[in-house]
Order: sequence, then C-alpha cells, then structure tokens
Amino acid sequence: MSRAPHIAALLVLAAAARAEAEPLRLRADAFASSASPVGLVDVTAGGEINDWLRADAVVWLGAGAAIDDPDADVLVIAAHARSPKGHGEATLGRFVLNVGALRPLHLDGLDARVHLPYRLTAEAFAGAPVVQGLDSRSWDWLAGGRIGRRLGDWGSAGVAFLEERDHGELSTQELGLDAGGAIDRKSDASARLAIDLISSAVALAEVSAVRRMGDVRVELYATHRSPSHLIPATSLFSVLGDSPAQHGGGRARWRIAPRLDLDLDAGLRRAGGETGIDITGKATLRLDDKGRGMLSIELRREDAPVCGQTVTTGAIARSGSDGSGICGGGWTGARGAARVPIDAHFTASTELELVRPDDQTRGNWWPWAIAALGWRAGNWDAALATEASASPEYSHRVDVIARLGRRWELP
Amino acid sequence: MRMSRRAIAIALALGLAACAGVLGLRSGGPTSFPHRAHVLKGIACTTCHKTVATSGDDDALHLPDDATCTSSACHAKPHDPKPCLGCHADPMAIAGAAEARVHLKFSHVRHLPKFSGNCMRCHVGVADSDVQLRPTMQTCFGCHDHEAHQNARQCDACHKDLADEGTLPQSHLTHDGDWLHEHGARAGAAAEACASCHQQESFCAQCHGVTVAALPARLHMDDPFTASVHRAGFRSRHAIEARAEPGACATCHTPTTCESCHSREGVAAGSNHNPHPPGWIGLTRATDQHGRAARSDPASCAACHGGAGETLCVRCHQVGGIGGNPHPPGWSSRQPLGALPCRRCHVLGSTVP
Repeated sequence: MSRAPHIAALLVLAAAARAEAEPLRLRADAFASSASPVGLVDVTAGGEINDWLRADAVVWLGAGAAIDDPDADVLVIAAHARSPKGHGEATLGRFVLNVGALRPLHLDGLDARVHLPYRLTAEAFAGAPVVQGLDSRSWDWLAGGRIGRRLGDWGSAGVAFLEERDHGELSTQELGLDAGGAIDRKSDASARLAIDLISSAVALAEVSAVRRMGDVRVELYATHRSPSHLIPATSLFSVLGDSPAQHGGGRARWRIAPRLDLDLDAGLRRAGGETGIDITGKATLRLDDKGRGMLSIELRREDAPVCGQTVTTGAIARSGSDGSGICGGGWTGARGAARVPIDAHFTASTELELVRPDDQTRGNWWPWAIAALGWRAGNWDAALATEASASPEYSHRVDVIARLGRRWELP
Repeated sequence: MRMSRRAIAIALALGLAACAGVLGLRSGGPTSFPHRAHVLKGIACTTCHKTVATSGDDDALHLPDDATCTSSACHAKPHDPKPCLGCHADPMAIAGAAEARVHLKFSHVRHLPKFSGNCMRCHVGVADSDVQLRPTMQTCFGCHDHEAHQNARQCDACHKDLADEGTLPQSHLTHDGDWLHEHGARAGAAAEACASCHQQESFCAQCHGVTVAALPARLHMDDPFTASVHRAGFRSRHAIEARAEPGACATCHTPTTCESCHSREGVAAGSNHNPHPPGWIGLTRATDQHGRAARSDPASCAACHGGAGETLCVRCHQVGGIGGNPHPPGWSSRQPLGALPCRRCHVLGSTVP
C-alpha cells in the first residue's frame, strides 16, 4: 500500500495545527462494525487560509478483518484559489469535478475557471484519473473544458468536452451540452446531453421539469442511457452497439397537512427491449414543527427485464427462474422509517425494509432492519446501531455498528 | 349503504380531528399574526415594530411586546393574561426571524429611508397572507446586484456564516422533491449555484469519489432520513436495480469497482459460483441469452469479465471465430484496429469482415 494516505493524513493534521489562528473546520469520525470493514476513520478538513486561498482534505483509513491489511485512501486533498474580485478561480490537487453534462470526474490535476465578458464562463481541466487505493498507474490522463453562458438572471447553458486516455489509448471522448433555469417563479427545468464521439451516439440524456403549485410540487423527468457508450471505449463490451435504456415518468409531492407529505413517483422503464413500470408511494409525517421526529412509510414496485428470455416457437419462455437468480424480473417492497427524539441529546431511530423478489429461487423475502440510538452534545456525536438482514447471500446476518464523531471549528 | 357511507365520513372526520395536532393543522394552537388585518385597519408597521427605525446590523429583534399591544385603544383590555404572541403568532415564524437575525447581516435603519418607511416594498407577503413575511432572496436581488459576489461565491456580503447557518435558501433553490434523483441534471447547468453552499471538491466526493469510506446512509445510520443512494437492503436488490436501469451504475462506478467486490464475495470470474443460468450461451440466435444480456447491460458483464477476463469472450468472437461478429449492423468506431479493444479480436493481419 502506498504511503500517500498517511502523508495526506499528516497534511490534514498539519493544516489543523497551522490553522489555529485561521478559520478551519475539521471533522473526524471513527466507525466500527462487526462486519467488514471492522474499523474506519474518516477525516474531513477545510478552511480558508486567507481571503483567496482555501484548502480541503478528505481522508479515510480502514482496517478489515485481516488487521495486517489496512486500507486507506485520499478522496480529496486540494487547494482552491480565487481572484479577489471573483473573475477567476483554480483548484489544484485531488478532487471531484462536476463540469456541465459530463459525469463527475475524480482526478489528480488542475481545474481553472474564468468569468469572461458577456456573462460567459470558460473552464479547463487536466489531470490523471484517480485510481482506487492509489495503485500504480500507467500512462492515463484526462483533459477537457466547458464554455458556459448565463442567460439573464434565470438560467445558464454550456457545452463541455472530455478526452480520457487509458494506458495511453483513447477510452473516452465526450461532448456534453447542458441547460437549465427558472421558466417562471413557479417552474424550472434542466437538461443535459452527453454524446460519445468515438462511436457517435448519445451516451446519456436527461431532462427534468418542475412546477410548484401551492402545496403541490410536480416533476416530469426522462432519462436515456446507452450503457455501451458509458463504459470506457477500451473495454471489449463497448463494441456491442447501441442498446439504450429509457426511464421516464412523473413525481408529485403534496403537502396534505403542515406536517404530512405524500409522494408519488410513477415511471415507465424500457431496457433490453422490455418495458416495465416503476411506482413508489410514500407518506412522511413530521412529529414536530422542526422535523426532529419523523415517520415515513413507502411502498414500491420496480420491474426489471427478464434477461434470460428465450423465444421458442413463437412463445416466450422465461428461463431466468430456473435457479440462476439473476434474471428473474423485478421486486415489490415496503419500507418504514422512524426518528424519534428522546430528549435534547438522544434520538432513537429505526428503518425496516421488506422486499419480495419476483424470482424467488434465492429466497421469498429479503428483510432488512436497523435500530439505532444517536447522541449529540456540543461538538461530539455518537451512534450505536444493530442491523439485521436476510439476503440472497445470507440466510440471516446481524451486525453491530458504532460511530463516534467530533467536530472542531477554529476561529 | 347510505348509513355506512355516513359512518365512514363521520369516522374520517373524527380521525382527522383527533390527528389535527399531529398533522400540524394547529386547531387551538398558535396562529399566524394577523398582519393583513392590521394593515387594512391602516395601522403603520412602525406603530407596533417601534424599534425598526433604529435597528442596525446587530440589534435585537424588534417584535412588539404586550405593552405595545395593550397601549392601543383596540387591545386595551386583553382577553387573556398570557403573552399576546404566545397565541397570536406562529412560533416558527418567530424562530425563523430569530435565526435570520443571528445569521444575516441586515440593517433596517439603512433601508427604511430609501423606501420612505414603506415596509411592504420588501415584506410583500403582508398583502397576501400572514404566514411568511420575511423577504426572500429574490426580493433582495430586485435591488441589489450581487453578481460579483455570486461569481466569487462570497455569500458573506449578507450571510455571516453560511455553513453555520445550515438552512436551505427558500427563494432560489430548495432541495425539495426527490432531490437525490434530480440533482445530477440540476448540477450540470448550475454547478456554481451548488458551490454557493457546498465545497464541491469534497462534498461531491462523499458519494462520487472513486472510493468512499462509507456512504452517508451507512455513516449516519442513526438518521434514516439522510439523503443517500443505496439505502436499506440495497445489497440484496442491487442486481435487479442494475438490470432495471442499465448504465446507471456507470454514473459513479467503473467496472473495476464491481469486480473488486464480486471477487471478495466469490462471485467473480474464476470462482466456483456461476451466476449464469443453464443454456446461457446458446448455439443459435434464438436460444442465445448472453449476447442479448451483454447488449442490454455491458457494464454488468465487464464487472466480472473486464480486463484480462475479456479473453474469455475473444476465444469465440475473434475474427474467424465461431462466435461470429458481435457488432450490430452499421457499427462504426473511430478507434484504429491496432488499439484496444479492436486488436483483441482483429489480430494482426485480419481484416474487417
């Protein structure tokens, strides 16, 4: 394992020490579970070193069942600078980047953005894609940019480009178009489109429009994904052609009473040449005006393609439920959750889920439950939970999970 | 029949009445202060909110006390000895105003002269209802052009400490609805708006990092209402959900992510556990299952058979092999034949069939 995570952890602690006289936020969580990973420490730090420079770091160190095989990673260690009047900004280090219609990128590198006249914004980035666990890497890199323009005070639109190399070979070349804004005081919409330039096809398209009408909020959405264009072009599985999946539908939330929300999500899915439905109904009740205590119950039905269909003499025979377990349609389930404050410091919570898969060769029911007790006092917080489940892999499984967190805020 | 309908209606009404408190319908509880009624009577705002005219950045809230109410002819004889605002004001509105006082930089004394004491220029809600009277950010932006501040994401022109404030802006962007599913499309065109509150470099990494220590649902297991992907028994459902929405996993995960977990659980290529049904590889197009499944969700195949595992496919699908051409009609790519993955099947000297 690389020493880099330990060095990064030292940098975080050094930053904490350095920042005694500077604004800094530091949070550390110790997490322990009877299931793997056994132990975990998650450290998040960030603060403004001065008016134009900020530093952030997120580091985790874990230890599995084999205590001599610790794992660790640096998620973020970056410095972010901006010009005094906000004309430009730059980030250097390891960070997650969200650029227009491109999917989020985790990279070691540089991102720079500058605001131009006519409400234009130009952004450019380059670096090496982050490799899990800081493994050794070969000649892989990515680069791209985005030109965006703000549209009055109501929206913005942009075009982005990404090229990525894997072991020096072209793995992604993508063009992204994005747009979004408020149509009026009660409506807004956004859309993004990613085009795979290597094999000239739409990789991802997403549209969402929202309308608010008093206590009712309605959203219409549609997504088009082409999986073979979303995986790297260096993969053999990218040559199988365009077999897109679509998902579209509507969501509505009705605040039926000041403390009671009803949610309904109904959609249509199309994947692998099959069409199915996805429907969810949910009720959420706040037990007090601030929502410290809450109850919710949710019912859901989700169809999935029966991938093992075989055509025999004009009839369709479902061969997925013959013991394979991976091709047997969708699932139906219910979920309930509760969070009840006991006093100013303690909160009890529970979440229960019961799933009935269509293909019952791997179990008729998949129950899952967790019961937890949370505690918060000043900058400390802690939680202790018991999780129990039965799944296709385990007839029963019980885990105990504990977390202890501390937050520091230095002036 | 009519009786039973009436009984159901009565039962519903009784149930609603019994639950009114729980549902927040507030029957008998505090009500919003009737600002509108006072305005219609011609009472000036500063008659009650006397300290507004001198209220600076750090002054206390200027809510009227009981003496202010009883000093008027209308309320000279209060009907109840309890504090007036205990019943005639929404405690959430008072709490909201107190929060705003703590977290926002705002001086009434600098604003009043500019509008000749017309409070409704900003508190537009007085004319409509009594519920929400605090001006929205949009109202502020009606006069104040904060473009430079927004570009620099310097919210501290108005917000004392946005992270400490921790409240969602009510006027320009709220995370209502199924925000977890919506945020991708929204963030695409509005990354700078997100960055107003979230330090994107680290906030997005909590879920979108190549590795994450623990997803929010796991780390905050004591709060079942934490927004997070992969909730509850997702581990059991993940194969179905991946199949229901092919490509969705690739939003965050690379095929190697799946492979590392599948290897740990002993369901990867080379393990004793074969997840495929009998007859997975059919000899004819009609009986073939694996080709159709691979086209629908290639990332699932790559999860086990990616990288070196691709040689399994190449054994049959290389040029001249018995597996035939895996490309669909009209397939084209800008990859040269000597590059990956073409060269796996199109070995040197072979031609495009």
